Amino acid sequence: MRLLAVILLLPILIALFFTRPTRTVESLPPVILWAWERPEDLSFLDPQKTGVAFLAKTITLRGDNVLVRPRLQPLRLSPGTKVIAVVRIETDKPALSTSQLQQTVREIINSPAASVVQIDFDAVVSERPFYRELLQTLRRGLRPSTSVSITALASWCAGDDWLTGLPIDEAVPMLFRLGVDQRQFQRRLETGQPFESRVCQNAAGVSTDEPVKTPAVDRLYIFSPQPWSKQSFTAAMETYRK
Amino acid sequence: MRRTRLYALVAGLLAVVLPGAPTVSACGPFMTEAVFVHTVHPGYPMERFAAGRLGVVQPSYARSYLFVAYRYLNSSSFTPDEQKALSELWKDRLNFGWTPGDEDWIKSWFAARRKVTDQDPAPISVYRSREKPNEYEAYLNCQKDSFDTAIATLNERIAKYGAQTTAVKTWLEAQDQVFSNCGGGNFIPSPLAADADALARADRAYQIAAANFYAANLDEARKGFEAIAADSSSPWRQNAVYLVARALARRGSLGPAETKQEALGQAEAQLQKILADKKLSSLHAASGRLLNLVRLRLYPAERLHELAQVLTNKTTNQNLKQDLWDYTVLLDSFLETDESDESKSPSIPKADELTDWIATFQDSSEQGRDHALARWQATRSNPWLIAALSLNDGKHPQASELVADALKVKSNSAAFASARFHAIRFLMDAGKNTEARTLLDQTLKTERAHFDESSLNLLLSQRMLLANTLSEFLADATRVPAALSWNDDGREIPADDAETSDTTKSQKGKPFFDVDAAHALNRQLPLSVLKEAVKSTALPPGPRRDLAQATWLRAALLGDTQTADDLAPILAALVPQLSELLKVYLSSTQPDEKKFAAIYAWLKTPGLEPIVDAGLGRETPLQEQDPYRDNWWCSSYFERATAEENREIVEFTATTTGPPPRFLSAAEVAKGQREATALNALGTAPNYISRQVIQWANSHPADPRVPEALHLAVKTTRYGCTDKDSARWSKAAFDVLHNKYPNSPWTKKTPYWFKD
Repeated sequence: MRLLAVILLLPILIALFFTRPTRTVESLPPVILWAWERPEDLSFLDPQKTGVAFLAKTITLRGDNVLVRPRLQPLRLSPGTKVIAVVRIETDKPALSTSQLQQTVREIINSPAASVVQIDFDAVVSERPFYRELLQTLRRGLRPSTSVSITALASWCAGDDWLTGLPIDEAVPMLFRLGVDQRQFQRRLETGQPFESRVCQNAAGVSTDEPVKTPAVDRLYIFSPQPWSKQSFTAAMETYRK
Repeated sequence: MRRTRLYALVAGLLAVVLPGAPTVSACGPFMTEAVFVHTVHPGYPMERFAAGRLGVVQPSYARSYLFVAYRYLNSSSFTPDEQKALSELWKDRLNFGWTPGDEDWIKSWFAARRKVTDQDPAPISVYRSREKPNEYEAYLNCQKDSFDTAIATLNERIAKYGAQTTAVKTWLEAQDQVFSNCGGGNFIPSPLAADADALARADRAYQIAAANFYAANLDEARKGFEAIAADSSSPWRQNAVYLVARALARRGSLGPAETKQEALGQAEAQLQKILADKKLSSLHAASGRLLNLVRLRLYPAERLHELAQVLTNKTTNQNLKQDLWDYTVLLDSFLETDESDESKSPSIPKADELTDWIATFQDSSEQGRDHALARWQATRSNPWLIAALSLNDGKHPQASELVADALKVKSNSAAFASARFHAIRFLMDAGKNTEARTLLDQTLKTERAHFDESSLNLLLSQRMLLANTLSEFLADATRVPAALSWNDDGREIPADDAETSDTTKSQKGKPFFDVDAAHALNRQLPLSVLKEAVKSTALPPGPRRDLAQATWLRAALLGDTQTADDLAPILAALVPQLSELLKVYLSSTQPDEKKFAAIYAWLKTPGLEPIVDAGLGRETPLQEQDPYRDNWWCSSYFERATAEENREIVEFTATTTGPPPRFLSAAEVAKGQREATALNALGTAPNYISRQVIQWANSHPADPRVPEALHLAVKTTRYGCTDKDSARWSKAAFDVLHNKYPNSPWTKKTPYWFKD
């Protein structure tokens, strides 16, 4: 009887397994360069080894308005480069209304090359309910295969964790420009201790001008305060290969 | 005082290259910081700089400021209108929230439409993606003039036909199609029948050409506009002549790489044709602007030189903002190329003096230094004098000659502040401290008004380094910041009052230690001198309080009980909330009792640190936990690299690389170093405190303070600056508390120890 049940259920289980959406974030290369709003020619990158997270648009929530500014600076990549569309959300005395939330979600969904979207925002405590709802609405609106990544303050990943339970595929703790937390997190990184929040354990963000000991992660995002060049890319790889 | 760096400049350059572009936002927590000396742009208000009050010109300023400095250093000036244009340019570039105003254009268009229909069309986005493989940027597709023209035409057609007529509704329907191409798609209105009204047919032909233009069908658009231009009956024929050039120019931007130059060349020819035709004078202004853009792309080096000539021409420039914008964008593209990639590294065209000066002023290489000197010798002009001074130091063989020239600069010259600052710097470099001090004092006494806040702070930093006594040192150790800024993106923009805490607001205009003073106090002055500094009233109240706390705690931790005893009453007067804890310290007699009294006081006062803060310091009240773990202290303060990074562009600020203050004796210098080393050896606070508390608990188990101290020690390992050993100390303190004091209320309040 048990065997019969297994035989009957097997095709369903197999079907379920294969219909589970494969999130694109899992197939990203181990190194991702952030390409911010400035001319960037990254056509020298090997698409198999390095991906690019480019600032695709900036959404400003001002009052009850949603101002959208797409990327205006050129970005050149080799064919086949895996890309992540980064959407930066800024706020300026925002109403954080439902219509703003819906419009923002629409704009994120309509980002170019959006098989992975990364949301970059600075959520003060009072804005967190808005962002929670935004991420939930976004997840419902995206295709299942589309991954959602967010950048995160390191403190969100350690102690001040409001990310657990959010429908995101990864949170990228930003291990630079840490302000007074710098000492604390440097110590932590030196000891190799992972972040408590599980969504923060697969990726980390670093900057070329603040070398840190990086945690063991699947994906390392690297920011450069200057436009990328072959030289700066090589130097960054040498730094972080250590 | 002199260091080089790149990143701040890059931030400034980002603003130059990318008006309105957001930069990566620092990942906070966001704290306001004191900017003692601006390095990427002059201090606010910018109007002051635009009017020629330059202060000390920093090579690290973005290049639009250096252009203005160059003009004034050359004894040139700007009219009030030009100054306004400069201020507007800087405002646009520093305002990353800048938008072209598209929401207003669209609102106006929608408002005009409502005269015909209440039903708004789909939202319009004015940006369109380039829609090419492996390219991800957008461009501003529909500009203000598109909407202005549409509104004017709609109003005219309403006046002619009436708002609710078929003619107007048909026109509007087609116009909606035209604008639906702005954000993407390919929506081209159909041509009207041959028997339709002539004006309607002319309008429709124009709409079809415009729709093709916005849909990036640029060849079709050009052909459409050419046909209209050739139609003598069309009211759009003049506009169309210009729009042919626009279609060609856009093809030069968006079209295939191999045809870009050709398209731009055709656009240039078309625009020159328009400019040569007096009958098309209404198109000349727009055509001139577009021609500038086309030439900028066709001949960047020549255009850079042309713009430099225009910008240095002393006649009034009505187009200053745009010319300077274009010039700096071009110059940035030449100076910011990747040197590792020769194919992308065009040589910097220095064919004109302005470009040569800016490029050299920012070139700290030996070649740059030599070139600045050579140009100074050849010209004896102020711009090259300031460049030669900025790039060299007082040990250079020609230093005396440079100083002599610097001292000849009159106080009414725009070069005065820079020349005087560098003359003093050179004298200090050469060890001529008395001469430097005399010149500095005279400058501060009679010429202070020529120095803005940043420049004044540079002089005060020099004066602190030249102090002959402790009192003189203290008098210049604190300075009023030029700005309080979030500065999370390197833009040094003063924080908006509406966005800052009450604490920050209360700090505006107050003096704080800059990094050079904090470095000397924390690492160079021995306790014996620090004690005198605390006793002195030379420091303002805030910094004196900070120094008193730091010195008392340092003395207590290092076992200098005499100093700690001496300072306790002063500290109690300055910080009354510490009085009771200090009384206990004073009443303790044995060294180990005193040590524990100090540790206990420290545990209860997380804001105490054995060092002073540079800048604004900790905002959280002394006896409260800082939410960002700025509690007790991190010994890593002493581990921070003080050597400046290998930067490329010089900037002048206070530094932490200066020698010990001159008034210290050799013995005091040595003692200061020993004490700093001993303090550093204590290790990070949570570990040190926990160790001390456990030792005291073992030796004095009946002390009623012990359970609370153990509880607080465990807390330090959660809220303080920890390291790899902290977890061990956390557990050790926890175990002692739970094993020896199981019934204490403090034990119940300590359910966990902390791995981090």
